[in-house]
Amino acid sequence: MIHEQSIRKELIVPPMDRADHVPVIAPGQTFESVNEQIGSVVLRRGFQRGWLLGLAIAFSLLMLFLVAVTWLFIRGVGVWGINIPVGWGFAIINLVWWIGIGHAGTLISAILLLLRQQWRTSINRFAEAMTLFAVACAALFPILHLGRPQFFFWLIPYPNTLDYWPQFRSPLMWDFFAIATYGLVSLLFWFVGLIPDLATLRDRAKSAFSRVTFGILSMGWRGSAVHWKRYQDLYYLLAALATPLVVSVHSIVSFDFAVGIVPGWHSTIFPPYFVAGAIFAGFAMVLLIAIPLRKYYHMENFITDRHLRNMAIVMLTSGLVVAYGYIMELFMAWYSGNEYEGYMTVNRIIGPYGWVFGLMILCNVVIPQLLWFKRIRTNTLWLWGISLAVSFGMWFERFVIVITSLHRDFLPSSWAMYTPTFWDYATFIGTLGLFATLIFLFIRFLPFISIAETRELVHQTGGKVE
Amino acid sequence: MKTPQGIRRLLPVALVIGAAGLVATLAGLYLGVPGAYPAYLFAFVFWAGMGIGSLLLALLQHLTRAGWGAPIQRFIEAGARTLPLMLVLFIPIIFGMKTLYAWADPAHVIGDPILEHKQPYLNVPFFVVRTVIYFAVWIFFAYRTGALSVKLDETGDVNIAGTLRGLGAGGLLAVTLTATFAAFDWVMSLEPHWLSSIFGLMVTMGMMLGAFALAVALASWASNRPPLDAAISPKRFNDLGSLMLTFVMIWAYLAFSQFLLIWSANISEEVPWYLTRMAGNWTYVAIAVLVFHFALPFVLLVFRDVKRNRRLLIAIAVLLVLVRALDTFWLIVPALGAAGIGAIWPHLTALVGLGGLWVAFFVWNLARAPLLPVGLPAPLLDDAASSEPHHNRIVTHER
Repeated sequence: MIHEQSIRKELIVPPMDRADHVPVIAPGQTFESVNEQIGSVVLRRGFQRGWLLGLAIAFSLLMLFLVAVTWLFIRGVGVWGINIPVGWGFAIINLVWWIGIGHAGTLISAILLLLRQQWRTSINRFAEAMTLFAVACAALFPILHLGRPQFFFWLIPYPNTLDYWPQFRSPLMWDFFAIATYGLVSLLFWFVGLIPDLATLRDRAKSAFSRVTFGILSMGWRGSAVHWKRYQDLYYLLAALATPLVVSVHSIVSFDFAVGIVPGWHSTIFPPYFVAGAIFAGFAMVLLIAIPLRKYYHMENFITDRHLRNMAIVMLTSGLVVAYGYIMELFMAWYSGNEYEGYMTVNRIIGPYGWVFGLMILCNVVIPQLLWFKRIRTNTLWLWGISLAVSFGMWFERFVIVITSLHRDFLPSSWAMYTPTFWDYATFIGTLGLFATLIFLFIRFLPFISIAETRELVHQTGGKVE
Repeated sequence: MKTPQGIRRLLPVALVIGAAGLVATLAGLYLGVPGAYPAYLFAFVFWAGMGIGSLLLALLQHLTRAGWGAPIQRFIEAGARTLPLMLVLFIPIIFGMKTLYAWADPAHVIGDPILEHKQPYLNVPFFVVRTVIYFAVWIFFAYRTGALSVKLDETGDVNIAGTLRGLGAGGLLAVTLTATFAAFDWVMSLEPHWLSSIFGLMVTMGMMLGAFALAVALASWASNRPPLDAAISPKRFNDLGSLMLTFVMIWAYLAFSQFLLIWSANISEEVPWYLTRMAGNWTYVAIAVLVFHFALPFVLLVFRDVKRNRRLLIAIAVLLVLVRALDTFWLIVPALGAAGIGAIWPHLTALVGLGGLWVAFFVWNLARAPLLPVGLPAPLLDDAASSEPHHNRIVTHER
């Protein structure tokens, strides 16, 4: 049935445009050069000055977070700018923003694996780490936002003497399960992927401490064929399990809004539009990290221009889906003929927070269109700038959704403005510090590119990719 | 590289059946048989959806040049080129506007503030103009990419592949937007008070699923004879099956999102849409859609052995095409209340009549180009290359 040979001769293969020629990894790699280049970042003694400086800045922001949270625990959520009717404020904006960022990691590691996209190999490891850290930042906010955060575990349906049971019809419950599952599966997936690399590091480590630490973490990996077989099976299984999470988690976050009947929230497009927004913001964050990272550690031969180009295209595509969501929302607000929906839209665009809406459209719709131009998407500086704009834009989007819908809903007598306080900003910037601190520790103490998968790539391509 | 005889022999048969069915359908419309117009609209939306879905898949294929696309590429390109026929078949709907659309009848509109508010959008001339614009966009992209794709075969010119890629990107944008608004106009506005912002995406996804299932059914059927036997290996069946599963899941995700949000909000502006579609005997249709459009194909397509079994894959694909018709029926006909169903025969003659003509035109288009695209630019297969070491590829580079 298969005449591969005959078909091969018939098919004329024209060379493609130049960007397609940029290989997934630079030519001339061997197993040893891969081990050496990636492994040395971790096994090197001492700390580089640039890394120390970065960690110091990140860590001081983390300390700001500590102060902000301590003050919050002492005084309660009143230290924030939230009020009635705007009960959600920064906490929920930040939750949605952070959890969205995590999605790129899962998409890269799970979906692109199942789609057999080889280019994911060099970026999946740190993208997965980014997911974990973003989920950690995100999960803090709903807990901090609780009046009595010490009782957050009441969300867990466990048998208790209070005869107490959570409300399963509430999206808050769904959120809890969605985020908990997401965090758990992401952690497992990340750790399983790390095992062969941890073993490589164990074997290459010079100091006894590193050898023992990596030895324990690598769980007795010997690299036998049986190990690899089981590892592959488990890795694909986890990828298949993680795939629905890319869609489900942010859909459930969107239900937090769409299940309510507040104007501007109850829209059926919300689930796919939130998922696209999550991927959009997530890829922007991956690029924000990848571009300086590959420069600083001279990893251009592993994280090639091909990776940046492909990520730029994913970012452009998901951004267009987000724009589609905006168009649907605007059209439906008019088409509904509902005065509340109509007013909500007018208020979003030209109301007191209209400038945020304007910035959102600029950052999420206008600026990303630059990515259509090859010259811009292959220029790392431009790409980094656009990613930064998108990261801001997606934060503005959540601001628009949360604040403008709540501050003026049905009854004009209950309208109010929302003004964030110093502690709102401190908490948000503090989580940026937490995220950055974790990223800095990760890139120094664990291989941020998968050594085993890169070796596999070198093997498959015989060391001469394309 | 010719189209297999079996497929070409379909042309006269389909043409005769289609012509007979169309005559009966038009007679029904002319005589004012109850349910004739809803039946016609249902058949029209279903077959136009096959064309639109094919066009979207073809544009996606030109943009990404993915490995799975080669065996079905000619089928989806031919499907996209059926759209001029559907433009002609739109004409009878213009005559039935007042029967079908409450907003087209001034007696309904006056005194209803919401319908009056929608008048600038929902009025007969603008509706017709919009539909013509949609078709103009679709036909442009279908014929432009179709012609270039054949030319690429003949010349192997790199620049053509680049142009196709650009057309694919621009076309996906334009066609997704126009298909969304076509879904709003043709289907959603049947109940002019109701709205759902996911509706366009859901209907468009359904169209893509239907077109994909048809292409997979045909490609799998033709896969044991030349020229497709060279391009379709068991692993390729596996890919096509997985992709079909993905489409089924995306459709189900969109449909469920709409259902959950409307059910949980339970407000009078929205929930009647589902109440109508779950009342009386419509319950059984709704359950059938749930089972055959999602549950059964989902369970079956998870298994590799099922996907690699040619006969089973064909059976599932055919089931999905049929159930797409059932879903379209369920979306459209209940909107018109008890008058919607009327007699059963107009629904059958319309579906078969329009379908016969569609198939005839499709086969005619299919026979005009080699069934296997030979100029398929392959370098993207770098990306698509398997992480399984000996994955079967259709195209391999030779440098």
